[in-house]
Amino acid sequence: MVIMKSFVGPLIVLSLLFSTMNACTYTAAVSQTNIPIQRNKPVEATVHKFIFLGFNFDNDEVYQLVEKLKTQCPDGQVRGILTQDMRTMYLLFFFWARDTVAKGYCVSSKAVATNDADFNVDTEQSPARAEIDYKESTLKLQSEADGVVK
Amino acid sequence: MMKVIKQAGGALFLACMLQGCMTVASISVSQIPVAAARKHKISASASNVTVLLIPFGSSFPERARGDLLSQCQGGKIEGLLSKHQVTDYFLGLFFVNEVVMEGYCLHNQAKG
Repeated sequence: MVIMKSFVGPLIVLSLLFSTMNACTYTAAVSQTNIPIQRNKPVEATVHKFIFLGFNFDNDEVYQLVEKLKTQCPDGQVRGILTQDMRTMYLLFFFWARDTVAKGYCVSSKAVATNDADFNVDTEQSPARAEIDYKESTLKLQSEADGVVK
Repeated sequence: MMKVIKQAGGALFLACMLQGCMTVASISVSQIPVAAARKHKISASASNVTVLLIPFGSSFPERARGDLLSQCQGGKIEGLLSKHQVTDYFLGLFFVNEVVMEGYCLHNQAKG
């Protein structure tokens, strides 16, 4: 235990020194949306906010992300968006910088429509088809049950 | 008797120090595809270590995404669950930031 104490003290002091001298970036949150096939046009937007002594009264800067992404992809849709919310701490956490990064892919609207239609051929089930399938399976189950009773 | 209690206490303390206590920092789920399309499940994860509050890189989400994309070349990925978790070791002196992504790779059936 004594050895432990003799190590932990200097280590904490060292870490505080490093924290003072360096800006350490920590990830606070990550999210990812559906990723498209067309990944040839990546787009990226970043917003930055400086916070002093933790005083922060709004988070409105994140709305700029959407606007920035939209301007980079005026004729298409932005899909496959990876967002990463990060905090950079300076001078023993007295000063913070908050960075939110959004990275995605600009996909032309035509490509989206074509692609979705292609995928829907085999994967999407129409409501009418679902109803028919449901009725068929119900009838099958009923006939099996009748057979068991007989 | 006291010696045994001390040893047990020491062992318990060590166990607490060595084991990783895990917390979820953030989580998100995107639109999930229809059941017929949920055949090819893929997953990827990446992490970085922070030692004494000093983080070693913060690009692990991009690495996880890159890994996921490499598993689904020529297809799109839907039903994505992304989970950002933190595992603390040694009373928080060391912690591991990890992001786990799971989803379904959908290949274009119409074009084979």
